Amino acid sequence: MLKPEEMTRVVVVGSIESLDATIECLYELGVLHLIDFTEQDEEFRIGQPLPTASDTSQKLLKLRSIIRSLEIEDHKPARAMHVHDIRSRMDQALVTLDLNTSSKADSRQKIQALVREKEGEIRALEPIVPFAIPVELFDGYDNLSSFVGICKTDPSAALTSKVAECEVFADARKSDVVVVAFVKSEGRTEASKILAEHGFQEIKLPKVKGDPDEIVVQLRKQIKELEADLARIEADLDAIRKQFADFIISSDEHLSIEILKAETPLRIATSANSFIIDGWAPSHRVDEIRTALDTMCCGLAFIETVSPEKSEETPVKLKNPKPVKPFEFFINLVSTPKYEEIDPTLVLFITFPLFFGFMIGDLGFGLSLVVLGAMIRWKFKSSPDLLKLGAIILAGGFMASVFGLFVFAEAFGVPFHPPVENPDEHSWEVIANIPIHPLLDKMRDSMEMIAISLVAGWIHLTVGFTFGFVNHYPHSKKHAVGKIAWLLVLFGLFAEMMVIAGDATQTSHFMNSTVLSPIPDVSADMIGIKVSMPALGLIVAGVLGIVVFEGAMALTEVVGVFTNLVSYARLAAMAIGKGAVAVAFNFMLFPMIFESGNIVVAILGVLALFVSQAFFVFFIGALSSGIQAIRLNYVEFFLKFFEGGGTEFSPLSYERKYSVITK
Amino acid sequence: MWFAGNRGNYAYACTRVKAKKRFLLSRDVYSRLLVMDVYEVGRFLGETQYREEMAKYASVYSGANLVEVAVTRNLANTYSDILGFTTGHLREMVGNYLKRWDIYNVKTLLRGKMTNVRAEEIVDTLVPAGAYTEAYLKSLIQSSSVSEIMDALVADAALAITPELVREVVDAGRLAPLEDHLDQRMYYDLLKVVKGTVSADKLLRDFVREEIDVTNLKVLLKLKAARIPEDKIVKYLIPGGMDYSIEKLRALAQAEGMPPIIEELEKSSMYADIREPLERFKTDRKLSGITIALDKALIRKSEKFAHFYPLSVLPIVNYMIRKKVEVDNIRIIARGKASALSTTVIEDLLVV
Amino acid sequence: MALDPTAVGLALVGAGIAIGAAGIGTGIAQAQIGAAAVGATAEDPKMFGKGLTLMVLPETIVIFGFVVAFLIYGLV
Repeated sequence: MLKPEEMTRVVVVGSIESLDATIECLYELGVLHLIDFTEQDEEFRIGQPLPTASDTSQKLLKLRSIIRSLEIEDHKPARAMHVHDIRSRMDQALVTLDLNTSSKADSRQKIQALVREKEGEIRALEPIVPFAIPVELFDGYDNLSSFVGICKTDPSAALTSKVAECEVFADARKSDVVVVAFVKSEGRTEASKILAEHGFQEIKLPKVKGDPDEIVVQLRKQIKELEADLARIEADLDAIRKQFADFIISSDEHLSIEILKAETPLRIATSANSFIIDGWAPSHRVDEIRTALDTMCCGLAFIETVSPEKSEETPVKLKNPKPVKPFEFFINLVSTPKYEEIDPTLVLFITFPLFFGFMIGDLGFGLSLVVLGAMIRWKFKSSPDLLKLGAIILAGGFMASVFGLFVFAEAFGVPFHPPVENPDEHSWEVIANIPIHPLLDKMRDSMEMIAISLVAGWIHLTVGFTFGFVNHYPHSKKHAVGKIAWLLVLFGLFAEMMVIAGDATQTSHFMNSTVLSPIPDVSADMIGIKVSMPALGLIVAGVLGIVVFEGAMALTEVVGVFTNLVSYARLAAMAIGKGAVAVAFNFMLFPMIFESGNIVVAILGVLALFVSQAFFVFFIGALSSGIQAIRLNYVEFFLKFFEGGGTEFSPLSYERKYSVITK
Repeated sequence: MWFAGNRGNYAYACTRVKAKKRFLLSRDVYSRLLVMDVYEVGRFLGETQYREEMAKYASVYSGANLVEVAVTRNLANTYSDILGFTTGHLREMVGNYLKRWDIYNVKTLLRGKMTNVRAEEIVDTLVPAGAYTEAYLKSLIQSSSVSEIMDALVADAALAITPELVREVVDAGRLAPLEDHLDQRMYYDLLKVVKGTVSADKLLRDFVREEIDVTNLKVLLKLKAARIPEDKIVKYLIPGGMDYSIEKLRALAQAEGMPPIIEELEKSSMYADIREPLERFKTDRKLSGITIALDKALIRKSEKFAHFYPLSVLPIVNYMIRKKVEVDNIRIIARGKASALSTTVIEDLLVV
Repeated sequence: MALDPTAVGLALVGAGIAIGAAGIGTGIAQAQIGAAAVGATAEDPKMFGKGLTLMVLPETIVIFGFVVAFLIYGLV
């Protein structure tokens, strides 16, 4: 938590004969993060790929083109195939597949192109069918220019009046006009100008002879025949798919793994008779590598731990307890933290559901989200990202239900009890008398909600600056102290806001009398605003500190702290806005449902209510609340401390899904 | 955007191109490609941005041919892609910049046709990255004679081919005049679209003019080394260069032997980039070092420009250049491997 | 506070303008950033997180509008 897994810098050295065995061994373990060797010199060069690489590559190229021809990229074999079977069938299968698929895929492609071509010809000929002029008569004259095309408006009148000796045929269609014009060559430029004014678009006629209508009928017939051919080929390909798809996908996986290993020497420094593998490994697993190398490489290769150089970047493997882990999704979406940095996943685990829950704040929608999250997790077991997303939605939905039940006391935008001020409002009292009364009313306690948002913002930002302090402390005490100055400004600003709010909200009253009570109540009135002297003092001291520790340029960002704090008002804004939308729909549609007395109108009302609630309130609401909740973390929170740009820990390893190997 | 007129979608296009740029192969990857054999190179590329084309052509081609065809088609697709997602004036500039590929294709297919190369072989060497689609070019190749092809080309007003040039090609069988015309026309059109009114566009204009300089200098070096007389050389020169006007180049062409050109290059703004090969040339008389260095200098310049105006046409042109360089490099590696050149020889030919 | 209804009405219109104008401003800013973010994500899906972060930055402007609107609302 907060810190990634501890890594140790290691070097694996050995004699060149043991390179194969060492690579095999490291992939089996899957714990060594390799540092690519790039600086070649006289003695050490990058290694040669293992001898199998060339042949395997050739096979893979073939397989992948077959996969493409058969369109089985997404095929998932029902069970894993044994590597032994893959090897024994490979050569024979490749020959068969190569013979059958590529020729079939080729003819399929050719036929498809032909069909497209003929369809294009039909498209070009169709407009001129009404003229019933043989196609070859449309052009090919020595001193006569012809125009065939489609205009937006009819140009006939303009053409005949302005161009000497021209003949125009026009056929008006729904939204445009098909135009055929024959013009003496002298009048060509004038005619094309007029046509351009009428939005002329040329039709390129195919080089055929005869009546267009007949030709179109002919072409249609030909297309039918071609499509029958296509269906036959497709059936053949289907037969190949049935027989080989599993084998192809399994082999692709197996050969890819083979290549991965065979080309690992390209990332390793080798000399005439030795090799050096630089890398990182989780500290508690170094011994594991040592033992494995001892047993698998007969003492020809061994591992040493070394102290890393300053410039070297340690790969990062985030370490969080299981419930927190899904929230790493949000971290990966932005950037991997650096090794020395604090990993903020834990804060996301706490704040995201809280923010999200507060914004949704509805038992009905909350429970729906819980169901949605659970369904995503159940349906998409194989996608790690969706699994995480499902857990996040689940957690957010849970908090939304909690807020909806205990704080706002409402479900699906309808309160458990009507508000005191308006006892006629629709509520769940009609159905059941739930013994919970709202602590906050979205529509009436808006100031209270903004105050709560500000408190949440203050706490969140304080954690952010504190993280910034911790991150900077090891390498720059000056910058670390700068973060304390920022904390002073933040605290001053927050205190001042609470002083202005005074007793207007319970939240500010509570803050003033507890957390802020040690601050002496010395204040002055400036332009009608109550300004707390100690708060002002804190802000001034903080700003001075910022100038000293971070330079004058940082001053421009002081306003930013205020902006950041106000930015949390979006928590209240989203809750109120969503609440208002739900209430508006209910207000409009409930009378239709309950008071119209007409069953059809009532059913329509229920449908409209369902659609509006499902789409506007539930879907859009959940989406935007999610975005806002994560934004407060990404922008307001992360920018106080997070640099990112770390290297993700990606050890030498592979995963076999569709192929198995037995020892 | 309502306030941007139809200048183009710079924000979208530039970030997209910037994201593409991160996928260009790094120097380390080249050193690994050099160690691999040609099948491994093909497979490796099939796991990068070249995936689609590698899989598509692997059923028909293999070895170095596969790599060459796949990477050039990928280049063409990438360019069409970029042209496809730009709009407004930006698209116009990109489109005109890509016109060089139309010219290249026309030249290639005419040359192929006149020397009776098989149609499939001509198709393989095409790079359909401009306005002419692969289907259109194929239909041209399938035309029975050169004169038919010329008829089709004359119909394209953008190429502005005169009947005189047609006669040269069809009757006299001479391609050179047409090729020169097309090159000059291409740069003329490009400079017409890239106006100097916006400062970023002005930089592109300057860059294109410097490109003309480099093209002219390379022609001059090559022809001069082959002792071609001045009046022949001048025909190949393209007007509109930045530092070297046609007159200046003509004077160099007239002068006796290579030394005057070398001296001129020593005074040029690119001297810092080409000093080393220039010195080497004095002893080994090999031009390839200088031409590669000139190209590198140009690439470096485009790189610099791209950083000046991140939301302009410059980063897009820069990416298109870098992509072209990458494809050229891969082709060199594949061809070099196929003809069993040593790693160091291939390495020297790469522009990294 | 006993205010004359016209004043209350005008104040509420002001609150509306505060949110509306802030919304338009945010929209203009987000249009460009959004286009850029979509461009980057189209090439590299990993850019989604960064794009989203940058995209929602200007939203604070709306929140300002919201807070101002509620301060006005609280006064009347």
